[in-house]
Formats: sequence, structure tokens, C-alpha cells
Amino acid sequence: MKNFPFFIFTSILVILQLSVLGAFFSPLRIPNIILAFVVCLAIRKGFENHLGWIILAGILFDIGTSRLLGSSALLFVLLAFGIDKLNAVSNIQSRRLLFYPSFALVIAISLFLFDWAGIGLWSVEKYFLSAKVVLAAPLRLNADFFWKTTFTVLGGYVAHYFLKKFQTNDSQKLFQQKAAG
Amino acid sequence: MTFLSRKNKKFLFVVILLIVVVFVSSRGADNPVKGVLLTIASPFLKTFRIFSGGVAGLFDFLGSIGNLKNENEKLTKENQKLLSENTRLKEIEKENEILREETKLAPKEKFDLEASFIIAQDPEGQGNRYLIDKGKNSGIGENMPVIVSSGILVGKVSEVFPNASRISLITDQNSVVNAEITDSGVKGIAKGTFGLGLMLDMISQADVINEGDKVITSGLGKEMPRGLLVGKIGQISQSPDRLFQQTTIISPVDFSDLRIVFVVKKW
Repeated sequence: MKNFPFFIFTSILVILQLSVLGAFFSPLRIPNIILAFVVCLAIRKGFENHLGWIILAGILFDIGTSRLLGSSALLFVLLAFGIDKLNAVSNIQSRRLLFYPSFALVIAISLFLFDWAGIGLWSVEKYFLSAKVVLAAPLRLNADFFWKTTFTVLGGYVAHYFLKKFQTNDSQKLFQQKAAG
Repeated sequence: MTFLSRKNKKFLFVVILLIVVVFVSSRGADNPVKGVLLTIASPFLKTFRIFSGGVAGLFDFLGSIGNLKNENEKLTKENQKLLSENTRLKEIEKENEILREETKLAPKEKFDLEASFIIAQDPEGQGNRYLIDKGKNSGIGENMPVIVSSGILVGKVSEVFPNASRISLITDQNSVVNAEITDSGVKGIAKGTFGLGLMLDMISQADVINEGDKVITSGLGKEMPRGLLVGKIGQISQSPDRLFQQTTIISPVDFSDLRIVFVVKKW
């Protein structure tokens, strides 16, 4: 996969997350499309292949939040590693009809874990590192969280579609190069 | 497969590295990095935000077409009412000038304001934290009050970068503002609650407060100018320990639709 288009894609997702989605969704229902993107990467290509992009997405996500730099990247890496291990057992990518519900389930669980672990990390930073971080709101499993999850899953499908396109284009180019050479 | 396979080693290395980054960030090292990244990203964030605000506004407009006729009739009646009130207010304006002098309320014209665009929203701030496109280079500092055009308090600057700043709304659960009720002079503390709520707390049991009374900043502690409108008193209740009264505050601002704000640099 070529790096530049991928960088542009990641940057656009971050801009959408920080700047655009807030204008269309109520504050408690804003989907986490960066997380959906990370889950997508981990499922499609595994933890190792896109580690750099996962870290970059986390760092860029952090500039828009009040978190300490590196916090989201750390959580994304932990999640991606977990998904990679899960994928090794269940091979989500190769499932046909079951892929989309499995994918949705992985995103939903990841979102819950990300928000939940985020609050934990926030407390750790506040009390052990004496960081000037603000109080985090408690995680509530209500209608808002349900909609946030639903929108995140939909965002995940869109991200998955584009990643698939990227990969298909790359495979075609690779095939053409091999055929020519 | 051994525990320390290449993948696991890579994972451990990255996790340790990121923990170090977080630790270093907690010592204040993240501000310059965030500042540089925000300087690069700010023009893009601003453009996308303005565009998306316009599109969202268009959707809102299309959705509200059905209600326009009723609203038009309502507005015509309101307009007539306002015309008569306007005449009365001109008289009050003179009286107001004298009162301002006496109560030391800061008129908006005397503020040194910096107009700023909202460029991004903290996805984890529950709608209470935003990024604006002005920072240290425009003379903005931490804890400066943030208002909207009509002089209504919306929040404070919580973090400053060279070309951007983070603002926390008064509805943020970390926000505390010294406030006062205009008619009675009763003092309290306006606090943010979880979500987009706002309450006035620490009101003495002996004080008499009424629904609809206006709440302004009291200027105590010199952290804010006196006289910025916070909102109106809503539902009155007792604090859990029953030592104080507390009320909800209804702000006239739609916090989810902020686009341009003003940072009060001097007052």
C-alpha cells in the first residue's frame, strides 16, 4: 500500500473526527471513526503491518482531545493487539456473511473498552503522574452510547470499504508491474 | 510460538515507548508538540468546520420549513411587542448607564475582545470542550473568559497553544464560576454538570431566589469581569446535605451550535 494516499486518508479521517462530525451529531453521540479505522486495520492486515498508522492515528486523535499525548495511541495499540490475537483464533476476515456482524461486534466491544479504559487511564494520569488532566465523565450505557456505537460501526463499514479499495488498487498495480517486468 | 515472538517483542517495545511518551507529556512536554501539529492542522480544521457548519445549517433549515409559517406569525406578534418595549428601554438605557457606574458592571464595549472561530470539538469532551483558531500569538492566555457576541458567558480558555487554544464551556464538569443573581444580589457558584447542564450551587438557605431571575458573573476572585450573563434560574432544589439551596441555570446559548466566540483578553 502506498504511503502517501494512506496518510491523506488517515488525515482526512482525523479532520472529520475532530472538526466535521461535531456539527452533525449531538455531542454524546459523536462516532469514534478513528477507533473504527484502527479496528479495520487490525482486522484486515493484522497488528504488525499497520502499527505506524495506528500510532499516528492515536497521536493525531490526541491533539484534539484534552488527553496527554500518546494516551489514545497507547489504547489503540493495546486494542489492535487484542484484535490481532482474536483474529488469529477466529479469522474474522475470512468469514463471508458473518464478517459484517462479527466486524460490528468487534467495533462495539472495542469502543466500550476504549471509553472504559480511557477513563481508567485518565485517573492514572491524574493521580500517579499529577497531570493537569480534566475529570472524565463516567461511562453510561444509555441510548446515547447505543447510537454512538451504531454510528461508529457504520463509520467502520465505510472505512473498511475504502481500505478494501486501496488494497485492490495496490494488488492490481503489483500484478501489472509483475506482468510487465 | 514462544511468548517473546517478534510480534510480541514489537508490541512490548511500542507499549513501553508510548508509556514513556505519556509520562513525558505529563511533565508538560506535549504542549509544544500539540502546538506544532495544531498549527499545521488548524487551517484544514477551520475550513472543514465552517463548511460542515454551513451544511448542517442547511439540513436544519430544510427540516424546519414546515414550521416557518407558524414561526412567522409568532415573530410578527413578537415584533409588535418588541417595538413598544424598545421605546420603554430607551428610557431605561439612561438609567442603566448611571447604574453601571455605581455597580461597576463592565460594559461589553470596554472589553478587549479577540474573535475566534471554533475549529474542532474534543470528541471525548461530551460537547464541553472546543478548539479555537487563536492562541498565544494573538495574546490569549489561560483562564480568560469566553463570551458570545451578546456578552453571554460560555466558558474559559483551558489550554493555550501558539496558534490555537482549547476552551472549556461553563457546562463542563470541571468548570466553576463565581456568580450572582441580579435582582437579589444573592451569591453562589455556577458549576457545570455532566452533559450540557449548568447549576448554581452554594446558595445560603436564608436567601430568597425565584425562577427566571438572571444570573451574572460576580467578578469575585478577579478571574472574570462582573456582569457577564450566565443564564436564568430554572428549577430550585436543596443540596444533598441540605446545607445550601441549588438551582439549575438555563443558558440562552445553544452550546452545541457555537461557531464564533470572543475571548475577553482585558476588562
